[in-house]
Amino acid sequence: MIRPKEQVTRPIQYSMLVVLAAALIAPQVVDDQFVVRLAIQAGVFILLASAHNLLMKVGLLSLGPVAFYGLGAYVSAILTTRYEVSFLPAFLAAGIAATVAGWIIGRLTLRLRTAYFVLVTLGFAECFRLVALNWIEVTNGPMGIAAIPPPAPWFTGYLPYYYFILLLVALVLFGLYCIEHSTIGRGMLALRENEMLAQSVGISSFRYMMLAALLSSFIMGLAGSFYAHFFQFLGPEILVFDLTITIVVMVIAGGRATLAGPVLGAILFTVLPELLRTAQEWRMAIFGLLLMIIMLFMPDGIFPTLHRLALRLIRDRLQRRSQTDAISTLDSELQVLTERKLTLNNELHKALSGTFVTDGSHLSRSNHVGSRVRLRDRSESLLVSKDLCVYFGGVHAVERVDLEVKAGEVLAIIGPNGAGKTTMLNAITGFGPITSGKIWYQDKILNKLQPDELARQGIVRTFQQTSLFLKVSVRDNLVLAHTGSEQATLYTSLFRRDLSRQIQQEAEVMADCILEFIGLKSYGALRAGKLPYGSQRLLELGIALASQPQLLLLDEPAAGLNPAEVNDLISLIGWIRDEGITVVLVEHDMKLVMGISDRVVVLDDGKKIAEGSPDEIRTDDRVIEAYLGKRSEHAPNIES
Amino acid sequence: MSLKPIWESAVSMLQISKVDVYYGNVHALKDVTLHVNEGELVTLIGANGAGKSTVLKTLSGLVEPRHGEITFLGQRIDGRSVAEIVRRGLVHCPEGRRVFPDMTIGDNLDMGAYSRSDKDQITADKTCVFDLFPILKERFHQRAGNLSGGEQQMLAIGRALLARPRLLLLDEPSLGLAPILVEQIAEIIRALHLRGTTILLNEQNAEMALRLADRGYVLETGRVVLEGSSKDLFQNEHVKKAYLGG
Amino acid sequence: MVGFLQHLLNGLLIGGIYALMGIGLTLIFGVMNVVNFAHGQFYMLGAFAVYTIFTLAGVPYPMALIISALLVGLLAAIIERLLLKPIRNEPIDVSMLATIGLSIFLANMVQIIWDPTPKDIGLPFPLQGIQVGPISLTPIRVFVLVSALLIIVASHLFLQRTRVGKAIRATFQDREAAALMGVNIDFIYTFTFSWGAGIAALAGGLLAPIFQVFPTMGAIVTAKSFAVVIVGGLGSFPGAILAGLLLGVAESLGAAYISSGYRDAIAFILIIVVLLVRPTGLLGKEGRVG
Repeated sequence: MIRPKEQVTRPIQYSMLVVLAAALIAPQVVDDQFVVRLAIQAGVFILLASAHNLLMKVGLLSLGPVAFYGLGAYVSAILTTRYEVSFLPAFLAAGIAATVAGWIIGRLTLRLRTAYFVLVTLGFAECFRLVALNWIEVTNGPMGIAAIPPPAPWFTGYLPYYYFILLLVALVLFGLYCIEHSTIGRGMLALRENEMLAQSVGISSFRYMMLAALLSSFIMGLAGSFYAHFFQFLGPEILVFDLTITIVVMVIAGGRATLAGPVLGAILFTVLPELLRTAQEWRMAIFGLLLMIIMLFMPDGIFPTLHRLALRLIRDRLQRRSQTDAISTLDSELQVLTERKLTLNNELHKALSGTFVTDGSHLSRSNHVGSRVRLRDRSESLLVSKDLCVYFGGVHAVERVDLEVKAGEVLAIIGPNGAGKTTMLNAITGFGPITSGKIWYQDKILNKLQPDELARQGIVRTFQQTSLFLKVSVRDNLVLAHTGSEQATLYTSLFRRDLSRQIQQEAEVMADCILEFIGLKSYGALRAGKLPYGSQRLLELGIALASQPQLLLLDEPAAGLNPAEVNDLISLIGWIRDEGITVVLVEHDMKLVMGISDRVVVLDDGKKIAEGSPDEIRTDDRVIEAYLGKRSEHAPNIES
Repeated sequence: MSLKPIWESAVSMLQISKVDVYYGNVHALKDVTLHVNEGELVTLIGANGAGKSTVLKTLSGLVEPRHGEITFLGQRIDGRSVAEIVRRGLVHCPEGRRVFPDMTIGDNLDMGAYSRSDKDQITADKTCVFDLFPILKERFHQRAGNLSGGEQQMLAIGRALLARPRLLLLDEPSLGLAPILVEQIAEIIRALHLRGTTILLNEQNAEMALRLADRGYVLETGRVVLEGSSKDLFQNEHVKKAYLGG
Repeated sequence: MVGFLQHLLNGLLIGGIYALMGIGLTLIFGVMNVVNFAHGQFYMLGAFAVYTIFTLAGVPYPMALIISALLVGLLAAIIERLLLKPIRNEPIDVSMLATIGLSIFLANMVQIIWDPTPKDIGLPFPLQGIQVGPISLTPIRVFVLVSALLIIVASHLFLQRTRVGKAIRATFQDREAAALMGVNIDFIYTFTFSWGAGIAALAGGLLAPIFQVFPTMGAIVTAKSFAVVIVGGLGSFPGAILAGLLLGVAESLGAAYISSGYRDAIAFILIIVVLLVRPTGLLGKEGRVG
């Protein structure tokens, strides 16, 4: 759930305050210095685990956290011991140094895929450790740096450190909380759930991942500096792989991508080794065994599992019953679509033009959300490709294709499998390569742009295979899709929470309008994965609409739909066109193509073999021979 | 609403009785009963998500029914392993073709015969498949991933035939194919039927399915809502409106 | 020049072992999509098994190798059934963490059962070197090189020509379709994991007489095995072989001519360099993995 109900957030907020108060008072009450020291350690790990978790939030699994932590520690230690810089600047320098390192490594590695990314980050961490070990002039090698001064002369005993780390933890967790409930948080969720889909609606994978990497390394750098000044000695042994493992275990066993999971994991796995200390040589063996057991029985992590159990005890039965009822009435809903023509047209118009009526008053779209749809002159060319060639896998997939898409039309691209239709679509939307040739969009050359950049310019596509944010509700799918057109800055997330809330409200209102348009209003709360197939395809269309497209490219939207559903799709596309959106269809279903297209382009074997109105194409000999076949059930006898 | 069959029932090969299938909490098949006689071509029609694929997956053993019985050649097969069901002669040619892309045509066909051990018969069967699909013989050493959609569909069917099926389950053979290829595949299916292969066909393209089939069942939201001869179904008002586009 | 050839040969020797580790891991990663962090521990277990069977019990060396591989393979089969099968359908980091736990558990159990001090296996063959041109080769090194080669060739043939081998390849490419052909997927998974572990055990047993044997030797081997698999290209059998040899030679020459302190870093530097130039690895294919 993107926004939990009010009844849930209030108690959580109060209990957080209680916990904070308890943490503030605790060391005054608890006399044991050992426990305070343990708490400080736990605090450092909470920072590290939460920072590492940021990467998990965007779907990145890194094994390199020690590099940033260690860098921060070393920078801070060296500055204060050798150059006599005072603590605060050294502390900040540590954070900045780590951030810069994060930026460099991010630029190099973020475009790699999962398993590769994991191991390259590991590689960097290991290299860093070896540098720390061998570059004796700077780091003192295995001897380490000693006599690191405390943050201030009055930092005696454990208490000042305890409150310092408590302050850091509170600030960081609060910041992460704000981010989670802002545009950035939603963008990260979208990327984590379905990266390709997120990109297609304008959410920049690279930008969010980089942001996560920078924030994460910054926090780790600060934590490293704290550690150096707390422990007052620093050697390369803090950079061992074991530490990385510990952090990763804390995050994943605690519950990845959640806010509380890493906190829980950090506390648990700081305390656990202490409890096991009596077991001596069996300590690590038991630790390994415990890890295996947790993964076997709580693969989501401890926190999410407990959370789920709690929910099940409280409200599961009621919710489940209403969901199954929802599914069985879904089909009858769809058949009533044609009767609701007029209101639906309105809904789409409202969603796209930016005037909503909420609570009885007009709410015009704030300038934080772009509105790109405008009615245009029909003869204007929106997209032009010239001599487009795509050559990969040893095949000329697209060969010298000239294509022109006029503003406001519905253009269908048909042709046999392997003709190059999807390849062409991929090339236009940035999901596939272009070997040579040019593509212009509104007189600007398109060639090297990423899919998310193209989407923000208004070029949005759907996919052949069902592509949704499956684990999220139907309504939230649309809210997430809207994120791509929101202006997302860290500043807004952290310091303008009122604005974040307003943006979210607008997104939700728009989502409701689109839900109404595609006919899934009653299923807003249902998990997208549970929708029947036809409704999932409609939701995909809704997602594309939510990102404010000017040019909408649909990849086989009729695949798997029966004739009645295809009829509905024809109506929907018609209304979309009426709103000024240009539509390009890649299709096999002749009924859809003949029913809604203004023009048709036929590809065969990578080349364009015909172009014209639907009637012209239907009777074209070359097309019949290559594609339609003699039995023209696709001929116009749709009268019964 | 059910149309009664008007012919004598022949030898029953497959009998599904009151089967319920769940995916987690979702009730995918509700109280489904249907049968296939030897030599017939029976088709399942319905929207995507109506449960047609689930029926086939339940038959081939990929999914287990919660209630109900499935009898094949006189023996219960519900709850049995996929490998065993294949050995008994119930072969599922899956939706989307699913050929092994990095293996040659020859290796793909070998995989079809994985559950068999009669080497000579396998070689003879391969020859039969090449007679049926000469283009596969032409491209014998090619990677299956490099074949076109239509060729892959032929390979998938050929691969299924190499398991010596008594009953062949064809799952959406026309999916994603150009209209001209759809014709070709329909011809091949008709040829197989005429040679005596018993077939249970899933098809989105209801028109093609009913032209080929002897009988059919219509599934909606996991239930069988109509059954009858293909001729009767062709003329049924509901079928015409919902599935034949007219 | 002689020195160079000697280093090159040493590099090929170690490279052959790396290739073995890479093959095993590629199989496990490719077929089962498991990031097996415990792979190096199977190597370590193989070495310890040989230590116990050959050094302590006096069984002839080649025999000891085979027995240890079988034992480790059996252990791996049990692990697969108990630990990996239940989490088969979870995301990739779950199996990663589970194998991390396994790795920690195995290394520490071995430390408890045997002790942490490094052990000498002893010499299965006479020490006297054979002269081949300008280079001197000890019999053990010849044995290792030849064995590694044999195992690689045998594995390749097994995958390409046998029924089970084809079934493994089919499962790798499309699990559900393979199931529909009558392939027993559970069996394939267990077999592949055992096979991969068995090869790792052989690799450990082969290198045992040359280096020492100690319980924590597995971790760095795991890391290098992943380096090999990634540089070679995920899922590519010949890629793993090529990358393994490349890594061995790079390490040997690098340690001799540049610096021996950074020897272990060479693997990672290699990964970074190769991936920046060719993101799918040397012989890898397009597409996301994991």
